[in-house]
Formats: sequence, structure tokens, C-alpha cells
Amino acid sequence: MIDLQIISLVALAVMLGVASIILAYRTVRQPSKELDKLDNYSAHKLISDFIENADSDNSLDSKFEKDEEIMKKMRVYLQNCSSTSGIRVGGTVIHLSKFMRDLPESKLNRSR
Amino acid sequence: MSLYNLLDLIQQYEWSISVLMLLIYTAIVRKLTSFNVLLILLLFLTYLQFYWDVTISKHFGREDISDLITALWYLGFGISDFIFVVLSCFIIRKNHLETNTPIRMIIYSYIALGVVQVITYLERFIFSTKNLYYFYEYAIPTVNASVTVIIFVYTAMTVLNGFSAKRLESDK
Repeated sequence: MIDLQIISLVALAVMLGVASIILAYRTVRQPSKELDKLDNYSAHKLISDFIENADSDNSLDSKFEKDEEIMKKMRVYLQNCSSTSGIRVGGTVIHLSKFMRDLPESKLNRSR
Repeated sequence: MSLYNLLDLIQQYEWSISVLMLLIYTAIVRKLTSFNVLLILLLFLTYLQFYWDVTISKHFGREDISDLITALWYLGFGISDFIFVVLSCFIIRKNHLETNTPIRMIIYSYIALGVVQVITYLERFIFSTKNLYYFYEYAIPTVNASVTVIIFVYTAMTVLNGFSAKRLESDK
């Protein structure tokens, strides 16, 4: 009787172990290798250039339509930043949390 | 103080440090992130494992169910570690929360803890030897202490980033 209980426990532990490894891998897997190469300095510069060169009507939306790849790279950078991080662009400090909030949700989802 | 004692000391304060770091981190960030999800679940896990430890320890002298007690000791901790990982990943995925290196390290650490528990038990159960026990004895406090250090450093980095962001804003 005890043996059966022990075997059940072992089976449960092994099953949960395998499930947790698979789920963890799928949850925390890295983005593509190409995007991974983007270091913090490049990402910072990319975002600065991107915002500085945004359309005169200050709409980021139209810019995202054109630069899907840049947006993906920015997301890789942003997801590694704390929400309180800020970057200086020209004379203006842009908080990444606000920057993220201002992005159109549809565009964010598309890059996930 | 030996290394083992130091690791054990850090491990003992894991719960208190995690509570403090959760409060500080949440006060700074003010939103749901993978990190505070992990910390909340980690607090529950530590609490549960403490009671599991106390409950199982009471039955250590009983010869009639000694095999079952040994299994419950190792596999109980292993299963709870795996449940922690599964629940964390489930919540992170469901809420589309971002993960970064410290989050990955914490999740992988708990998978490692669970695997060490199960393998150590299987070694005793199948081969009736205790070779891995010496590894187990050091691995568990080392991983627990490392997780505590990651939590502390990550929160400290978030606080520092918060201050530098405020300074940038005031310079504006």
C-alpha cells in the first residue's frame, strides 16, 4: 500500500517536473537571435532617433506602420527596462512606461 | 562562520527579505509585473514549505512509515517547487507579462530545486545509496540563497532606476 503511494508520488513529481520545464521554456524563451544582439546602447540610440524623427504631427502610429522591425527591436529593449526608466531625447525626458502606454495596443500585440 | 552557515542564514531570512522587497518594488513600479507575481507566489511557497517541514519532521522517528515519510519529505518539496513554476508561468502567460533575465533565473532555480529533490530521492529509493545527499545538502541552501540575492539586487536596481528617472525629470 505504501509502495503504491510512493510510486504515485514519484509519478506526480516527474509529470509536474516535465510540465514545469516545458511551460517555463515556452514562457521565458528568448526572442530571435537577431534581435538579441541589440545591446542597450544601440537600443537607446534607436529609440532616441526614432522619436526625434517622428512625424511632425507627433503621431507615432504612422511611423510604426513603416518600421515593424524597429518596433520589434524596441520591444526587446523595453521589456528589459524597468517601468520607471527614462531616456533623454533632445531636451525631453521620456519615461518608458508612458512611451509604452502611448503605443497603439494593436501594434504591441502584433509584435508579441 | 562557514559557507554552509552563511547560506543557511540567508535562507532563513528569505521570507522576510521577499516581503520587504515586494513592498518596495510594488511601491516603485505600481503595476503588475512578472517579478511581483513571482514574489507573491514565492511567499506562499516558502510559507507552505515551512509548515511541510514542521509537519513531516514530527514523524521522523516512526519506523512503520519511514519510507513514506522519506518520500513525502523529498517529493513534497519537489512537487511544491514544480507547482510554483507551473503557476508562475501560467499567470505570466495569461497576463502577457514580460520576462527578463532575473525572472528567468528565479524560474530556472526553482526547476533546479525540484529536480535536485526528485533525483536525490530516486537515488535513495532505487539504489539505496546516499551519494547525492551531500550535493543536496549544499545545493538547496545555495540555490535558495542565490534567489534571495537576485530578489534583493533586482529590487535595488529598480529603486536606483526610479531615482535616476526622477532626477532626469527634475533636470528637465
